Amino acid sequence: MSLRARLANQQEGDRFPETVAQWRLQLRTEVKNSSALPTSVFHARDAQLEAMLAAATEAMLARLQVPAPDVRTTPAGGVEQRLEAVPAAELRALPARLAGDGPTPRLDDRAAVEAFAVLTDAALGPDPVAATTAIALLRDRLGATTAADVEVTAAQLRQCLLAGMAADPAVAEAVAAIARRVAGAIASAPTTCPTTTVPR
Amino acid sequence: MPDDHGATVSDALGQIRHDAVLAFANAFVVAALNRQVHERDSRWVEDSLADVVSTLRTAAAVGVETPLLLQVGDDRICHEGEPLDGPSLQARSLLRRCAERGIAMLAFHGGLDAAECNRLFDLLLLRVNVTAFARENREAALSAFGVRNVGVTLRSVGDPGNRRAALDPEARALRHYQELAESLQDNHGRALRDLELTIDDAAAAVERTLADFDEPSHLLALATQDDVDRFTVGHSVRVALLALQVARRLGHNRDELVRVGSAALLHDIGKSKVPQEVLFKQGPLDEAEWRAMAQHPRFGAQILLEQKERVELTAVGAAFCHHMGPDGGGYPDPVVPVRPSGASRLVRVCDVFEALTSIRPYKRALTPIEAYAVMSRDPREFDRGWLRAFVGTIGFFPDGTRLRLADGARAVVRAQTTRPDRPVVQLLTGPDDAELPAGQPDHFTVGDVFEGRTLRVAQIETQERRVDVPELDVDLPAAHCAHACVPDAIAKATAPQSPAR
Repeated sequence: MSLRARLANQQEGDRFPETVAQWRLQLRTEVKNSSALPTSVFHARDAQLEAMLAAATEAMLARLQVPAPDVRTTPAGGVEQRLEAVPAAELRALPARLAGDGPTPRLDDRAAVEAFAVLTDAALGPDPVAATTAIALLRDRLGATTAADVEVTAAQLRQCLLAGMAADPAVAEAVAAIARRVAGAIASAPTTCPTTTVPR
Repeated sequence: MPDDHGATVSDALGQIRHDAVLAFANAFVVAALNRQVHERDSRWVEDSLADVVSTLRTAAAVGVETPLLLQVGDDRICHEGEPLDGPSLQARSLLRRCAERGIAMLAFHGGLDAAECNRLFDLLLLRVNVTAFARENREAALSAFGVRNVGVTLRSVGDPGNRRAALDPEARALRHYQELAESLQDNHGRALRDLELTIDDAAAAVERTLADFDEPSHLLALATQDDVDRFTVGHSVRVALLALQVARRLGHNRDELVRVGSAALLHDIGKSKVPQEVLFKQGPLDEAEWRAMAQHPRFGAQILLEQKERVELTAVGAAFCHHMGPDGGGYPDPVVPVRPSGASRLVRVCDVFEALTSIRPYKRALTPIEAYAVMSRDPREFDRGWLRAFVGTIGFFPDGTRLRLADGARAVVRAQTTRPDRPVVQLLTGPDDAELPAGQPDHFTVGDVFEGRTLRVAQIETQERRVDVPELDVDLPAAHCAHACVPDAIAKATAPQSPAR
């Protein structure tokens, strides 16, 4: 049984028709067992009468059930609630801190740069399904094909990842190495990737 | 003054009983949610069932009449006819299952124990037991499952339950909030069990919310009452509502709003992969626990990328980047430098603001103006443009905030203006708590001349704290928060007939 199926089953509880039927059977057995008379004595001729007797017995026995004592309590030991200190001077200075006339922020600002970086992270990550999807999306966004030269794809990706960033030779070199690894993964990925329907 | 004293004691006792009922209803909703996500006999279910039992006993101990009756309508859980909105907010699936079974009321006797409550959930929540409460089955089912301490009253024939949602704006807002929360609960539960997410359902819930978003204050006011901390669902819903409100005020189109709303709703989906011992730990995390927690943004991006269903990269980016500053500092540590998108930077602002202004087991809540002060300490932490837009939308004193003015009068904020420090307020008392003179106008904008004097905000009053507000140093240029202008809201709030006290 798969993990999913097992978890689904464990979440389940009892089904009421089976539980009710089993409970009734137990009750009737108990009634019969608690008598010294032969079982045949209890076989009623009238099916309706037997049903009525059984129902009445059920009701009586249900009332005799004693609830089990409950010993659980909420774990004791509260945690002290802390409060961040904000001095009055800081509140006073707030308008000055917030003042400024920048452009109206846009939701899609740097969206492409973020997407390349996050997909690159996933492409090199340990999760194979996410990596496959990320590689397919990168290939799609770069317009790369499996036959494309790895270095060309790597250069494109490097350019996308470094877009808008301050020039730092060490970072640029590291990014270039990563871009080559991803480009290599793109080149070796199967063409029939299930995620090609994911939109850009 | 024995009468006054008697009334005060009676009020206090009434409040204690009300809180006890709320705590019990919250515990019952949490236990039902846990039963739907976790294994029947898991520790999480056991713990939440123990809470149900202990809160029921506490309620009985403080004088709540037993059996404790919870009425279950289509939208709300009520006690003695009074709606319990807090527990109702995350009770959508529980309420739906009760409605499917035709249940009008649950009566809890003091002898209820955890195992019995778990069996009750078998009957209440499992699809296979949907007919267990049909009139011909009910008694036998309750007996067979050993449920003796919970009575079930069925709806009378022809009683469809509470169907006010189409007419009542508050009920509509409640339904929207419940849908957002339910979608999120469902997706977190699915992620926990490695099942396919229902991303389209989340986007649809955001779309439906947007369709009715002319009452954002209803939704945000509801959001503050959500005490059911289940997978941080309440937090995520509030973050989504805040992000939608800010983005909408900036004039973003419908598609963009749905994208950012869905992204904000799902930003913490990666927490479903963090061990729950760490996620719900009530105390500081050790280094190993912190490392596990710091992976949740990466887990979130991976979960979203694993989906066969189409996932917007906005949501993947927000899941990955919502703990990063505008220049990519923070966590997780990415393999290549990341510059978060505008949507991710907005989600981050909303995420942290919500966290600072909400109560957690380990911390008290800051007021919004204190939260802004904390968030503006280090310019590398938050995008200033989005922070300004956020402050311009929500204001230093959001709608509904209780204030003490410089002359000792009490007031409540009714609307925002172009200045975040100058909301439109409605007076609740005269100076130093004196009664308001009849016929005197009671709405004005803070900082304007009113009745011959200019009043400023002296104090913010919350349920648990009084926060002094100093005179603010700088005269803010209106232009920097031009998006805050809400002419319709001001017109409504200042119209003498519209506001209700």
